[in-house]
Amino acid sequence: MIYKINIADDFSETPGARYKTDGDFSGQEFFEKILEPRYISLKSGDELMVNLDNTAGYATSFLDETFGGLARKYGKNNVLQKINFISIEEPYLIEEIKSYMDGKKN
Amino acid sequence: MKKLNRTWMGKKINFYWIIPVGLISGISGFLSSSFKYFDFNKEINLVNLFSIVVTTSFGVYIASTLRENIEAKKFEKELVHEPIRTLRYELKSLENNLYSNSLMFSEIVNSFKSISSLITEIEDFNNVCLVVNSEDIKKFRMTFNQLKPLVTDNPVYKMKFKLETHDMNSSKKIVKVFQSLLINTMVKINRN
Repeated sequence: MIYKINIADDFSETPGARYKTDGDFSGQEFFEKILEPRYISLKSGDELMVNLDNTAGYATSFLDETFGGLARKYGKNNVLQKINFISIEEPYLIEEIKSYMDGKKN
Repeated sequence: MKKLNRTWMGKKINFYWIIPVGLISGISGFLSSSFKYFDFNKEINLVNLFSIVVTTSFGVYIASTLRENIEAKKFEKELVHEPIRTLRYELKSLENNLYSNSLMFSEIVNSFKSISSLITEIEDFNNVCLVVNSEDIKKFRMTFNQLKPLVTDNPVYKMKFKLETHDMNSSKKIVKVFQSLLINTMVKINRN
Protein backbone atom coordinates (compact mmCIF):
# COMPACT_ATOMS: atom_id res chain seq x y z
CA MET A 1 0.00 0.00 0.00
CA ILE A 2 1.22 3.50 -0.84
CA TYR A 3 0.66 6.26 1.71
CA LYS A 4 1.22 9.93 0.98
CA ILE A 5 2.34 13.01 2.84
CA ASN A 6 1.95 16.32 1.07
CA ILE A 7 3.87 18.76 3.24
CA ALA A 8 2.07 21.85 1.85
CA ASP A 9 -1.40 20.33 2.42
CA ASP A 10 -0.81 18.17 5.50
CA PHE A 11 1.53 20.45 7.43
CA SER A 12 2.30 23.94 6.08
CA GLU A 13 3.09 25.87 2.92
CA THR A 14 5.75 27.68 4.95
CA PRO A 15 7.76 25.05 6.82
CA GLY A 16 9.93 26.62 9.51
CA ALA A 17 13.33 25.97 11.05
CA ARG A 18 14.62 23.16 13.30
CA TYR A 19 13.08 23.42 16.76
CA LYS A 20 9.72 24.52 18.10
CA THR A 21 11.60 27.34 19.85
CA ASP A 22 12.54 28.70 16.41
CA GLY A 23 8.90 29.41 15.56
CA ASP A 24 5.86 27.85 13.91
CA PHE A 25 5.88 24.77 11.69
CA SER A 26 9.29 23.58 12.80
CA GLY A 27 11.02 20.39 11.71
CA GLN A 28 10.64 19.06 15.24
CA GLU A 29 6.86 19.57 15.06
CA PHE A 30 6.60 17.89 11.64
CA PHE A 31 8.73 14.98 12.83
CA GLU A 32 6.71 14.41 16.00
CA LYS A 33 3.21 15.01 14.63
CA ILE A 34 3.39 13.61 11.11
CA LEU A 35 6.57 11.98 9.84
CA GLU A 36 7.50 9.58 12.62
CA PRO A 37 3.93 8.38 13.37
CA ARG A 38 3.32 7.67 9.65
CA TYR A 39 6.71 5.96 9.30
CA ILE A 40 6.14 3.73 12.32
CA SER A 41 2.69 2.74 11.07
CA LEU A 42 4.07 1.41 7.78
CA LYS A 43 3.86 -2.36 7.41
CA SER A 44 6.16 -4.57 5.37
CA GLY A 45 5.77 -3.71 1.66
CA ASP A 46 4.13 -0.36 2.39
CA GLU A 47 5.57 2.81 0.90
CA LEU A 48 5.39 6.44 1.95
CA MET A 49 5.48 9.10 -0.78
CA VAL A 50 6.51 12.51 0.51
CA ASN A 51 5.58 15.40 -1.78
CA LEU A 52 7.84 18.39 -1.17
CA ASP A 53 6.27 20.77 -3.71
CA ASN A 54 4.09 23.88 -3.29
CA THR A 55 5.89 25.26 -0.26
CA ALA A 56 7.89 28.48 0.05
CA GLY A 57 11.09 26.43 0.39
CA TYR A 58 12.97 24.49 3.04
CA ALA A 59 15.70 25.50 5.46
CA THR A 60 18.58 23.05 5.91
CA SER A 61 17.68 22.87 9.60
CA PHE A 62 14.13 21.66 8.80
CA LEU A 63 15.28 18.96 6.37
CA ASP A 64 18.05 17.80 8.68
CA GLU A 65 15.78 17.66 11.73
CA THR A 66 13.04 15.71 9.91
CA PHE A 67 14.52 13.34 7.32
CA GLY A 68 18.08 13.42 8.69
CA GLY A 69 16.60 12.77 12.13
CA LEU A 70 14.52 9.84 10.84
CA ALA A 71 17.62 8.30 9.22
CA ARG A 72 19.66 8.75 12.40
CA LYS A 73 16.92 7.07 14.45
CA TYR A 74 15.91 4.21 12.13
CA GLY A 75 18.87 3.87 9.73
CA LYS A 76 19.26 5.49 6.33
CA ASN A 77 18.76 2.29 4.32
CA ASN A 78 15.61 1.32 6.24
CA VAL A 79 14.16 4.79 5.73
CA LEU A 80 15.00 4.93 2.01
CA GLN A 81 13.44 1.48 1.50
CA LYS A 82 10.10 2.86 2.68
CA ILE A 83 10.15 6.54 1.78
CA ASN A 84 10.18 8.11 -1.69
CA PHE A 85 10.25 11.79 -2.45
CA ILE A 86 8.55 13.92 -5.08
CA SER A 87 9.97 17.34 -5.93
CA ILE A 88 9.11 18.72 -9.34
CA GLU A 89 9.73 22.36 -8.44
CA GLU A 90 13.16 21.80 -6.90
CA PRO A 91 14.43 18.41 -8.12
CA TYR A 92 17.81 18.71 -6.40
CA LEU A 93 16.06 18.82 -3.00
CA ILE A 94 15.92 15.02 -2.97
CA GLU A 95 19.73 14.78 -3.31
CA GLU A 96 20.01 17.40 -0.61
CA ILE A 97 17.82 15.37 1.78
CA LYS A 98 19.84 12.21 1.09
CA SER A 99 23.05 14.07 1.90
CA TYR A 100 21.55 15.16 5.24
CA MET A 101 20.59 11.54 5.86
CA ASP A 102 24.29 10.74 5.36
CA GLY A 103 25.15 13.41 7.90
CA LYS A 104 26.70 15.71 5.28
CA LYS A 105 25.80 19.35 5.07
CA ASN A 106 27.97 20.38 2.13
CA MET B 1 58.74 62.67 -38.71
CA LYS B 2 57.13 66.06 -38.58
CA LYS B 3 53.58 65.81 -37.32
CA LEU B 4 50.84 66.70 -39.81
CA ASN B 5 48.92 68.70 -37.25
CA ARG B 6 47.86 72.30 -37.60
CA THR B 7 45.77 74.52 -35.40
CA TRP B 8 42.91 76.58 -36.70
CA MET B 9 40.92 78.87 -34.38
CA GLY B 10 42.47 77.13 -31.38
CA LYS B 11 41.50 73.59 -32.55
CA LYS B 12 43.99 70.92 -33.63
CA ILE B 13 43.38 69.61 -37.12
CA ASN B 14 44.76 66.18 -38.13
CA PHE B 15 45.88 65.78 -41.77
CA TYR B 16 46.73 62.03 -41.70
CA TRP B 17 43.45 61.24 -43.50
CA ILE B 18 44.96 62.79 -46.65
CA ILE B 19 47.21 59.68 -47.15
CA PRO B 20 44.46 56.98 -47.62
CA VAL B 21 42.18 59.40 -49.48
CA GLY B 22 45.03 60.25 -51.85
CA LEU B 23 45.84 56.57 -52.45
CA ILE B 24 42.21 55.63 -53.13
CA SER B 25 41.82 58.61 -55.51
CA GLY B 26 45.00 57.56 -57.38
CA ILE B 27 43.90 53.94 -57.80
CA SER B 28 40.35 54.82 -58.88
CA GLY B 29 41.73 57.38 -61.36
CA PHE B 30 44.06 54.76 -62.83
CA LEU B 31 41.22 52.19 -63.14
CA SER B 32 38.85 54.64 -64.82
CA SER B 33 41.54 55.75 -67.32
CA SER B 34 42.35 52.07 -68.09
CA PHE B 35 38.70 51.18 -68.66
CA LYS B 36 39.05 51.42 -72.46
CA TYR B 37 41.50 48.46 -72.42
CA PHE B 38 38.80 46.03 -71.24
CA ASP B 39 37.51 43.92 -74.11
CA PHE B 40 33.76 43.21 -74.23
CA ASN B 41 32.72 40.11 -76.13
CA LYS B 42 29.07 39.64 -77.12
CA GLU B 43 29.34 35.82 -76.97
CA ILE B 44 28.20 33.78 -73.96
CA ASN B 45 30.48 30.93 -72.99
CA LEU B 46 28.26 28.16 -71.53
CA VAL B 47 31.07 26.71 -69.43
CA ASN B 48 31.78 30.10 -67.89
CA LEU B 49 28.08 30.73 -67.38
CA PHE B 50 27.68 27.34 -65.66
CA SER B 51 30.73 28.08 -63.54
CA ILE B 52 29.27 31.45 -62.47
CA VAL B 53 25.89 29.90 -61.61
CA VAL B 54 27.50 27.06 -59.58
CA THR B 55 29.87 29.41 -57.75
CA THR B 56 27.07 31.86 -56.94
CA SER B 57 24.79 29.04 -55.73
CA PHE B 58 27.58 27.70 -53.49
CA GLY B 59 28.21 31.17 -52.16
CA VAL B 60 24.54 31.73 -51.34
CA TYR B 61 24.21 28.23 -49.81
CA ILE B 62 27.31 28.61 -47.60
CA ALA B 63 26.29 32.10 -46.48
CA SER B 64 22.73 31.03 -45.59
CA THR B 65 23.90 27.84 -43.79
CA LEU B 66 26.47 29.81 -41.82
CA ARG B 67 23.84 32.39 -40.91
CA GLU B 68 21.42 29.70 -39.75
CA ASN B 69 24.13 28.03 -37.64
CA ILE B 70 25.16 31.33 -36.08
CA GLU B 71 21.55 32.19 -35.26
CA ALA B 72 20.87 28.72 -33.82
CA LYS B 73 23.99 28.95 -31.62
CA LYS B 74 23.02 32.46 -30.54
CA PHE B 75 19.55 31.19 -29.52
CA GLU B 76 21.07 28.25 -27.59
CA LYS B 77 23.52 30.55 -25.81
CA GLU B 78 20.64 32.81 -24.82
CA LEU B 79 18.74 29.83 -23.38
CA VAL B 80 21.59 29.25 -20.90
CA HIS B 81 22.46 32.92 -20.45
CA GLU B 82 18.98 33.95 -19.37
CA PRO B 83 18.69 31.78 -16.20
CA ILE B 84 22.31 32.67 -15.31
CA ARG B 85 21.35 36.35 -15.42
CA THR B 86 18.32 35.67 -13.18
CA LEU B 87 20.57 33.68 -10.84
CA ARG B 88 22.91 36.70 -10.61
CA TYR B 89 20.01 38.93 -9.54
CA GLU B 90 18.95 36.37 -6.90
CA LEU B 91 22.50 36.18 -5.56
CA LYS B 92 22.84 39.95 -5.57
CA SER B 93 19.67 40.19 -3.50
CA LEU B 94 20.97 37.51 -1.09
CA GLU B 95 24.28 39.35 -0.84
CA ASN B 96 22.49 42.60 0.00
CA ASN B 97 20.52 40.79 2.71
CA LEU B 98 23.73 39.34 4.15
CA TYR B 99 25.48 42.70 4.22
CA SER B 100 22.49 44.46 5.76
CA ASN B 101 21.94 41.51 8.15
CA SER B 102 18.32 41.38 7.00
CA LEU B 103 17.87 37.62 6.90
CA MET B 104 14.09 37.21 7.06
CA PHE B 105 13.42 33.47 7.27
CA SER B 106 10.74 33.24 4.56
CA GLU B 107 12.60 35.51 2.11
CA ILE B 108 15.91 33.67 2.49
CA VAL B 109 14.42 30.18 2.25
CA ASN B 110 12.46 31.21 -0.84
CA SER B 111 15.57 32.73 -2.35
CA PHE B 112 17.49 29.45 -1.92
CA LYS B 113 14.60 27.57 -3.53
CA SER B 114 14.79 29.89 -6.57
CA ILE B 115 18.58 29.57 -6.77
CA SER B 116 18.41 25.76 -6.67
CA SER B 117 15.68 25.65 -9.35
CA LEU B 118 17.65 28.04 -11.56
CA ILE B 119 20.79 25.88 -11.31
CA THR B 120 18.70 22.86 -12.36
CA GLU B 121 17.31 24.87 -15.29
CA ILE B 122 20.83 25.87 -16.38
CA GLU B 123 22.00 22.22 -16.13
CA ASP B 124 19.02 21.03 -18.18
CA PHE B 125 19.50 23.60 -20.96
CA ASN B 126 23.25 23.08 -21.08
CA ASN B 127 22.85 19.29 -21.31
CA VAL B 128 20.98 19.85 -24.57
CA CYS B 129 22.75 22.93 -25.98
CA LEU B 130 26.30 22.18 -24.73
CA VAL B 131 27.30 25.85 -24.78
CA VAL B 132 29.63 25.55 -21.79
CA ASN B 133 31.62 22.81 -20.05
CA SER B 134 29.32 20.94 -17.66
CA GLU B 135 32.08 21.08 -15.00
CA ASP B 136 31.53 24.85 -14.81
CA ILE B 137 27.84 24.31 -14.05
CA LYS B 138 28.68 21.64 -11.45
CA LYS B 139 30.67 24.30 -9.61
CA PHE B 140 27.43 26.31 -9.22
CA ARG B 141 25.82 23.35 -7.44
CA MET B 142 28.86 22.73 -5.25
CA THR B 143 28.95 26.37 -4.22
CA PHE B 144 25.20 26.32 -3.52
CA ASN B 145 25.69 23.21 -1.33
CA GLN B 146 28.27 25.07 0.72
CA LEU B 147 26.24 28.26 1.00
CA LYS B 148 22.75 27.01 1.91
CA PRO B 149 23.62 25.22 5.20
CA LEU B 150 25.86 28.12 6.27
CA VAL B 151 22.81 30.38 6.23
CA THR B 152 19.75 28.18 6.77
CA ASP B 153 21.10 25.72 9.32
CA ASN B 154 21.12 28.47 11.92
CA PRO B 155 18.62 29.23 14.67
CA VAL B 156 15.75 31.58 13.98
CA TYR B 157 14.91 34.49 16.24
CA LYS B 158 11.95 36.81 15.60
CA MET B 159 11.47 35.28 12.12
CA LYS B 160 15.09 36.03 11.17
CA PHE B 161 18.11 33.75 10.80
CA LYS B 162 20.67 34.50 13.48
CA LEU B 163 24.15 33.91 12.05
CA GLU B 164 27.38 33.66 14.00
CA THR B 165 30.10 36.03 12.76
CA HIS B 166 32.08 33.13 11.31
CA ASP B 167 29.10 31.85 9.29
CA MET B 168 28.24 35.37 8.17
CA ASN B 169 31.78 36.06 6.92
CA SER B 170 32.03 32.66 5.19
CA SER B 171 28.63 33.20 3.53
CA LYS B 172 29.69 36.59 2.20
CA LYS B 173 32.90 35.09 0.78
CA ILE B 174 31.05 32.21 -0.87
CA VAL B 175 28.50 34.57 -2.43
CA LYS B 176 31.40 36.55 -3.93
CA VAL B 177 32.95 33.33 -5.31
CA PHE B 178 29.56 32.32 -6.71
CA GLN B 179 29.15 35.72 -8.40
CA SER B 180 32.54 35.47 -10.08
CA LEU B 181 31.78 31.89 -11.22
CA LEU B 182 28.63 33.17 -12.89
CA ILE B 183 30.44 36.05 -14.60
CA ASN B 184 33.25 33.76 -15.82
CA THR B 185 30.71 31.31 -17.22
CA MET B 186 28.78 34.07 -18.99
CA VAL B 187 32.00 35.29 -20.61
CA LYS B 188 32.96 31.72 -21.62
CA ILE B 189 29.55 31.19 -23.22
CA ASN B 190 29.90 34.43 -25.12
CA ARG B 191 33.37 33.54 -26.41
CA ASN B 192 32.50 29.97 -27.46
